[in-house]
Amino acid sequence: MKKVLLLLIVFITSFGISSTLVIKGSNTVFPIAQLWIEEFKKIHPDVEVTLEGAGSSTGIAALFNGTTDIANASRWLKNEEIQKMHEVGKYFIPIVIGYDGIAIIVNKNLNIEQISIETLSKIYTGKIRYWNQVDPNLPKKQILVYSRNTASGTYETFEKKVLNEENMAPWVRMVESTQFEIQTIEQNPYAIAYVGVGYVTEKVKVLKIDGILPTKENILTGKYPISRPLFMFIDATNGYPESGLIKNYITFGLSKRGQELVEKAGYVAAYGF
Amino acid sequence: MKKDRSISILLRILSYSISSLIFVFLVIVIFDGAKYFSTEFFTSYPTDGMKSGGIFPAILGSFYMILLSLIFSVPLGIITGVFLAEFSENKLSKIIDMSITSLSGIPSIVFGLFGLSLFSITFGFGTSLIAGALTLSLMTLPVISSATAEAIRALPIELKESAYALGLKRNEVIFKVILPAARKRIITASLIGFGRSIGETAPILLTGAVFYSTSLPKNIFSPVMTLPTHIYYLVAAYGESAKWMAKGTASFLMIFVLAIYLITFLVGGRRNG
Repeated sequence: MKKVLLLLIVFITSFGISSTLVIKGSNTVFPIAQLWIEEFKKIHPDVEVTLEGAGSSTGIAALFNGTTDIANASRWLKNEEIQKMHEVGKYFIPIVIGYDGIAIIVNKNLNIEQISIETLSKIYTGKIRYWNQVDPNLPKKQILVYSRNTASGTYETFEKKVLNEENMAPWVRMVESTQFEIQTIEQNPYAIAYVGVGYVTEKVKVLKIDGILPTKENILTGKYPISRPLFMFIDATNGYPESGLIKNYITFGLSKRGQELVEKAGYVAAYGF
Repeated sequence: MKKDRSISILLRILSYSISSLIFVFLVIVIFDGAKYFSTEFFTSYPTDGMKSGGIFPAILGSFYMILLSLIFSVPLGIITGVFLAEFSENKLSKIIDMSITSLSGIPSIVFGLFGLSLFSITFGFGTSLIAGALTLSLMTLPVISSATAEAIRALPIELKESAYALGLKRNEVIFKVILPAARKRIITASLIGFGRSIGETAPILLTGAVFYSTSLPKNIFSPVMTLPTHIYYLVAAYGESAKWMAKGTASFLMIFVLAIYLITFLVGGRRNG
């Protein structure tokens, strides 16, 4: 028991404050942030950085209560968040760090190359249930529809860009991870799902949307309809940080090297195209 | 006689098939991941967008987290257990008994949210080792205390009676006779609590664990990486390229838990201990 107490005291007395950069937010931005942190650490070896997840909304909420320095988000601010900013007198600024396209994927063996936004919306809202309704050449098989769960930023973007404020059909399967979606598509010839372009593997087929593939150019120029910018939000209530840790991190992220890492993480770099 | 035989065969087949199912499951998880084991895997940080490196900070973080949580939960759990067994005529004891029972039925994510609001926000611990450990210790508390109570109740009544007959006071009976007699089962209970809490993801996801950190935890107020949350984040946020690491981590975690249970069985082998 004495040893335990001693251990506890040692634990508590070793408490000290070091210069730490805290980053929270979107799981989608994770791969970018992790690569950035790794490289950033090489340039500034004395800095400690921690990266936490649990979604865009959590990151922005943490920015409000001051428990994070930077909030990663895969979506723009919600109206309530903007309103809250006015109420509590805070001012957050967005920094676009890259773009993400959402690819519609099906099994390799399914004889379909493209789909229209309208058809896609009908599939997810439940107005179309069989593949032969999409294209008469396809077999009369039920479409197995997969979606990410509602906490994901990918879901929010898909809902906004495709569903037109209609609800998803109750039989759409909500899954927790993108990997699960990809595995299901690989194994099931009649399934459909949507994933971030960074996750697409060679084992699944990416559909053209209204004739447009989610390539880098098409996403950057906004031709490909289901894409979104990825953001970092920082608290600029007391002005834009002109020096310090946060500023250095942002500068690194937007540098040539930082943007290369965005591409490495599977997304489209926002700058230097 | 014939009926007896057929029932015994039936039961045997059932029990064999269930245990082989468990066995197959363990073998698949362990061997699927064990092929990625190397010295580097256990000693280095994850690098290169989770494509290489290892899980050293997660192993260490998990270890710290569990040890710290045991510091809180073991003494508290034993004291509660003694109270439940020895003061069972007390009205308060019945209320505690009921609360402990219902505590063990609460979903782990509820513990996580509770920990987030109490330890991380109200107490101001933020995302830290201590907030995670306290949340975890709340979860292991019912395991340890009910097992302790059970162990004490299972002791022969003569033991207690003869101690009282020799003129020992109540606290002497408890600390000098009952607790030493039930020592082994209490250790077993603590180990079971250890094994259970090392695999818990939800309680520490919001309170103590981060996805990525550039440094090892310096004190109890720093956030840590842990094994189960590492698997969770890898699967939730990364694609094919990080799957190997999730498999390796799962395999290691499984081996670790199995080892703890093995020790538990060895220690608790003799029930009269």
